[in-house]
Order: sequence, then structure tokens, then C-alpha cells
Amino acid sequence: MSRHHREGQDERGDTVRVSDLRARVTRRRLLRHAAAAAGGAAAAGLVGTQALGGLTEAFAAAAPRRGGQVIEGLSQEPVNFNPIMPWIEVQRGVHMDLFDALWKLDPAGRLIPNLAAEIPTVANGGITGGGTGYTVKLRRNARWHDGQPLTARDVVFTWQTLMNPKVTSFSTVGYDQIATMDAPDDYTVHFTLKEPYAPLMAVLSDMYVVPEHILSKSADINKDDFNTKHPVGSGAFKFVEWAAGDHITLEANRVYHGPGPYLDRLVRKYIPDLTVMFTQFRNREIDITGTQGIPIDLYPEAKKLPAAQAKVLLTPSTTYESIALNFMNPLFQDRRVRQALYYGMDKRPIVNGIFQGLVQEAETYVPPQSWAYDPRVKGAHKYNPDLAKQLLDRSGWTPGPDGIRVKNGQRLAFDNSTTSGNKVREQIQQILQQQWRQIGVDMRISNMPASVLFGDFYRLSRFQTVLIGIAMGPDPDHTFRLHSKYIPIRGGKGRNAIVYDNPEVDRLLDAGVREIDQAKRKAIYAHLQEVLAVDLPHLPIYHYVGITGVNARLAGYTPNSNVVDGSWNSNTWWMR
Amino acid sequence: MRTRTRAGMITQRFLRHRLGVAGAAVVILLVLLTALAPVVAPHNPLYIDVAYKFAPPGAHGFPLGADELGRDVLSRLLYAGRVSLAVGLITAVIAVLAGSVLGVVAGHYGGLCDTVVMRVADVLLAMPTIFLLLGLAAFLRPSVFAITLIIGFNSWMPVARLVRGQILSLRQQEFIDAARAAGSPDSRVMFRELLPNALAPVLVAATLTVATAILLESSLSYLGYGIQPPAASWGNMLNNAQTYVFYAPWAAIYPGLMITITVLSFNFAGDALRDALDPRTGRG
Repeated sequence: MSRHHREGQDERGDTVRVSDLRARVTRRRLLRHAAAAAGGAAAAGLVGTQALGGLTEAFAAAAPRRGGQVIEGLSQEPVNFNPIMPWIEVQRGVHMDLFDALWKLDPAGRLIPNLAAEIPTVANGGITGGGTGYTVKLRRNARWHDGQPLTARDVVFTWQTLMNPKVTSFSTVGYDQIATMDAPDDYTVHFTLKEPYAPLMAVLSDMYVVPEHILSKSADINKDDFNTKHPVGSGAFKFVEWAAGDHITLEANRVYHGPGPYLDRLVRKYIPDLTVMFTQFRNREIDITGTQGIPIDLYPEAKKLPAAQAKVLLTPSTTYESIALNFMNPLFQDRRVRQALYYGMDKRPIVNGIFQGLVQEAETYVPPQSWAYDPRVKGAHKYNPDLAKQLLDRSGWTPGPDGIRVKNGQRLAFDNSTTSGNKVREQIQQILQQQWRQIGVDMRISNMPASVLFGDFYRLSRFQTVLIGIAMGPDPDHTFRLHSKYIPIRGGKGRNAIVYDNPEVDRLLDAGVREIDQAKRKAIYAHLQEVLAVDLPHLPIYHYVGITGVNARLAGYTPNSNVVDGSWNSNTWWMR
Repeated sequence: MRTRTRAGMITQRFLRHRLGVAGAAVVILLVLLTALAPVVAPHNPLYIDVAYKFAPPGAHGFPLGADELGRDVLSRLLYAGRVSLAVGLITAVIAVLAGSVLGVVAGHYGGLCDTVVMRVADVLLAMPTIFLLLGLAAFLRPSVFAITLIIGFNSWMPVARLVRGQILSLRQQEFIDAARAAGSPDSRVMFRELLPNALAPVLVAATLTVATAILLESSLSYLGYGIQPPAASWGNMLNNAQTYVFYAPWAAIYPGLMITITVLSFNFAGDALRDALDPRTGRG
């Protein structure tokens, strides 16, 4: 299990994250929101002060009806309900129902106050010292499910627990930028940073607050009954039961501080097989196809469902699929070889043939709907096998007797690994294998189960190349994948498993997190994307799009690519 | 002269078993077709063109349709047959060699040696086959060779038991006493006197092992631990096609049919061989 939530993506293998996708929002609308957010951005980065995102507002206006229940199918099983502990997306969804963070990120990337009374900004005095001092005022009506008031001490305790070396917390990334945190009074949290850290607001949107009055008494938080049997949160839903291997039941918290909840019950049903999950959705046994949603192969079937029964939502994701090249291998240390492989890759059969045009070709790790996306990289890479051959000729790889290029007696051959059993990925591998053979490159397929692949084989850089999905998350910072101080085999606590070490990229990544003005950050990340498009540590293939089936009677379900699960606004869901 | 008469009788009894003859004919046909795949196959089995994804049978020059990447299903079936048949036949060879040697040794020496070999066989037989195979497959890099070894490792036990049983009854007979009295060393007694007389049931077991091995390879490949893409085996073709079974049934039906037909043919041929070799169970 990953310690950094950003990495969660690939480590689960098939699970591969389609989780953050779901939108009834069209791409254009999303871009418009993103543009508006970027344009209206205050000095403090991501900040928007609207109380609710436009979509949520629209549903709130439609006079929600109380009652009923929603059953969501999950292809993996949530096994730990403590939001401090390592998690997978399906688990995060339950955390979102049971707990609250200081604020939420809406689909447009704007911050919505949750436990905070308002979003701290430079203008309202919440952010001081050029981004090194933060003061957050809390709402006064938030209560734990056991009736105790939720105070600033709970927030401080949560941060301290995350940073406690004895606790196997899901991540310390970003939280470690906070130097001190204290509670001057019950409803004020104050914290300081050594240096400005732009992703902080997004990081804190994922810090679900846990009760100090319960967990401070725990002998060992890692193994407490709180985690699996008696979680106590402050969220819109309360924990009822977990029938292991079958389902989780939550019921409405009728004294919730925010809007809603409207539903009486929320049931999460564990259905490991995605085809079975879709069949149950088609038979109206479940209302939502959670996390991995509907596989692309079943999309044509899903589209045939009557509109009165089901909505099929497409959501762009922040995850991109790419070929990751291991820089420990001398083969990939030659930039011309990397470029030749990319010029020899034709993404059209993948995008149009496998995905029926639902996904977009990727040239960068930043998804097109993000404010940080650099439109100049679009089209920077074109399929050009002749150029690929020239590049290989120039770097000394000449065609051998079997058509595969050779240099100093070595064949231009390497292994590619991905999660075995993932058919879409195996199809992509076979398409690439055929394309690269045409430029004289022999790619061999060597797949393994997800647990083996993303264990030491990937983490300790024992692979040659992997086909992998990597999530950017809501912030364009990609330090943990690309910065040279985050190389695991050199002792780094990140996931730069490709052992990429480029001083210019390091410099840009550092500058990107220290700058809190979004317009200036945008320029830094544009520059970074252009450097990467030439240097090619990864060969991006496509940006994920999630396909989610939702009962047409369910109102309020709003896909959000800035969070890992659709439950981010479950308090506003209701049944028509 | 006597042998020829015996062979003649066996052939005669075998030919009277109509299903067995049909099975043997199908097996021979399959071996020929797959061996000649490069000549017979209409297309390159690995050539991908997603423009022809799921072309139905007969369209665009694909006699049995195209698969999820636009590859010719017929050509892939023929090449996949090479893998599936090779795995089956080689496994049978491994099972017969290992099983015979262990069975003869256990039966001949008896005592501790017998106990050890037979208990190991019992333990392996008692393990759920598919889990044992999955466990082994997780350690070995998947290849036709590795898959064959893995399945072979799991197939020698019935042969060993069978041979041991035969040896136990054979070694009581006079001709063995005679061999011993003549001063034959153990190895000669075991492999020149005992084993040839136990060979008939072993041959039958071998045909059945082929069938089982083909099924096991299909299961492994079906679960994604078998033959790696782009190489085709009937099992992984079936696996790749399962999601599309509603709108491209041909991609699943043909490999499924091939497995069924092949396994049935080997079983029928095996039955016929048993009847032919053992006059007591024969109808003639």
C-alpha cells in the first residue's frame, strides 16, 4: 500500500483509477469552470470563495426530497474506515461520507468551506507572511456522531497523528510542509510553514478530521477497533455495519452541520467483477457503478439502457496512461531512443479502436481540463515512423538480420510489463508491439499480477518498461514522480521509480510549489510540460475518462475529477 | 510372429471402436493442420488492424471473423492449436517418463522408498490443482516451456500410481523370479522386465493426460497466468473474448469449440486404446 495518495493510482493495478472521473459535466463546461476559476483566482492560488459549486447549487435549488436509500457497487472492498490510515479510492469514498475536511474541492477546482467557516485568503487575513502563516476559523455547529462538539483541537490532533512516526498514516506529503499547528481557541486553527507551499490548500482538502477525544486514548491507532468496527466521524452519514466481503451500511446523520443529508441510508456493496457489477446495474440491483465504473468494453451496452432508467456519465480524469521507461537501463538513457519510440507510437488505433474515441490522446501528465494544462504541447507529438527510424539510425542502431536494430551486438529489445488480466492494457501492449516492430524495436510482453508488479519490481526500479496509469491529482505538482530526490532506490520517499534525474526539471518542480500566485505557477508548469515533451521520461498515451452508470432517479450525484471518489457530495444526494 | 498377431488383434479391436477411430482421426487432422499452420492459415495471426475489430465471420476475408484487435480468428486458432497441442503432448511425455520411473522404483523396492514416493503423490493429488498451478505460475516467468513444466509437474502422479500397482502384481510372477535367478541387476529387472509389461495402461493414461493438460493450459491462460500475449493459445483466446461474448460471439465460440473437440477426441481415442489393449474389458 502506498504511503502517498497520489501514487495510489497505479499501485492497485486494474483498479487503475478511473475513480476520479465522473461527470455529467461536459468537458467544455468543465473547461469553462476551470478558466473562470483561473481567471478569478485570488493571490492565494486555488482559492474561490463561493459557498458551493454551481452544480451543487443547482441541485440544492431543486427542492430535494427526503428518504430512500442508494446502493453503490464497489469492485474493491473498503477495509479500514479511519481516514488517517492508508486507503484505496473505494475506502476514501466511505471516509468522505463519515468524516469532514476543512474544505472540499468542487469539480471546477474551487474550494468550498466545510469544517472551516470560510476559506482563508490573503484578502480576509487568513493567509499571511506571503503564504507561510494560515489562520482558519471553524464553524461552531459541527458535532461528532457521539454528540461531542468538533473543535480546533481535533484538527491539530489529526495533523499530529498524520505526522506521528508511530502511525502508519496514508501520507505525510504536503503535511510535512507545516512547521507548527496550534489552536488559540476552540474554533481557530493557526499553522505556519517554513516556506510557501502552493499545493497546501488542495492537500488539506483531503485531510479528514478525526476525533481527539476518542483516538487520543487509543493504545495503538494502527490497530484500533475505531478503524474497522466503531468509526466515529462528523460527516453526513453514520456507520452502521460492515459485513466483511459483502456490504457496508451507513445511515443519515440528522444533525449534520451542512446541507442534507437527504437519503436515509447509503449501502456499499462489494462486487469484485466489473461485468457482474454492470449486470446488476442493468437489472436495477445497484444505483451507482462505483470507482472503476463501467469498463470500456461494456460502454456500447450501457448506452443502450433507457434514459428513464440510467444515466451514463463520462468524466475526464487526472490520470494518464503512459509507458514509463527505466533510466537505469542504458537503452533509455539515450534521448534519441526515447524520442524514436514516441514518434513510432501511433495513438489513433488506441484512442479510436479500443476507446471508441472516448478518451483524448495525452502528450503531458497534466489533464486538459486542468488550469495548468499547457495547450502548446497539444500536437507536439505526431506519429512519424520515418523520423523515428532516422533518430535510431543517427544513434547507431542499425537494422539487423531479423529486422530488429542492433548496436555493438546488442538488440534493440526490452520487456514491457503491466498488470496481468487487464485486457485493455494487453491490447495496448500488442498494438505498440506491432508499431515498434516496424521501426526495428522488439518489445516483449511480460505481465504480472498487480501486487507483484507494483511491489518491489516497480518501486525498486527492477522493471525495464511498464505500462502504467499515474494520477496527477487536483494540483499540477508532480514532484513525487519526477524529482530526483524522490527516487526510491536512492532512499527517496517518493515514486520516481523511473530514476529520472534532470536538474532543470527539479528546478521547475521546486519553483512550482514555492510560488503561490496561480498565474505565475501556470507559466512554470507550462515550461515544465514543454521540457518533458522533449525529454520524454514517460511516453504519455491517453488521458483517462471514467464511465459511471447512475440510476436516473438519483439527483445530486456530481462527478468530480479533483477527488478520488464520487462520494464527495453524498450529503446532497436524493432520490426523485 | 506372435507380436505381429497381437498388434493385429489390437488394431482390429481399436478399429471396432467407432468413436475412438473418429477421435484418433480428428487428432491426426488437428496435428497436421496446426503443424502446417504457416501454409494453411490465411493471415498472419499476430497482425493487428483495429479497423477490422470484430469483423463478423466471412467479412473482409476473415473466414471465422476477427478478434478485438482485428486479427484473423482462423489463423489464430491454427497457431494457438500448436501451443495447446504442444503443451498437451509434451506434458504427456513428462508425465509418462516421470510417472513410470517413480512408479517402477516405488513398486519394485517397496518399503520406505515406496512410502515416500506414494505419499508425495498423494499430497500433490490432494491439493486443489488450479491453486497449485497458480502458485507455481506466480514464481516462473510465463512461457510455453514454463507452462508445460508446471502442468507436467502436476500430471505424473496418476501414472506413477498406475505403474506401481502393475508392478506390485507383476513382481510376484514367475518370470521375474526367473530373471532374478538368472542374476539380472535391479535396473534390468525394473526397466527390461517389469516396465514393458506395465506399458499398456500407461499408454492409455498418456492419452488422457494430453486431454487434461490441454484443459489445464486453457484454465491457466484463461486466468491470465498462462501463455502471454501476443502468442495465442485456445485458453487465452477464450479469455480475451469473454467480455465481448454478446456482440462478437465468434471470438469466444471457436476457441471453446476447439478445446472441447480436441479433449473429447483424445478421450475417445484413449478409451478405444484401453479396450483394444485389455482383452478383458473389450467388447470383442
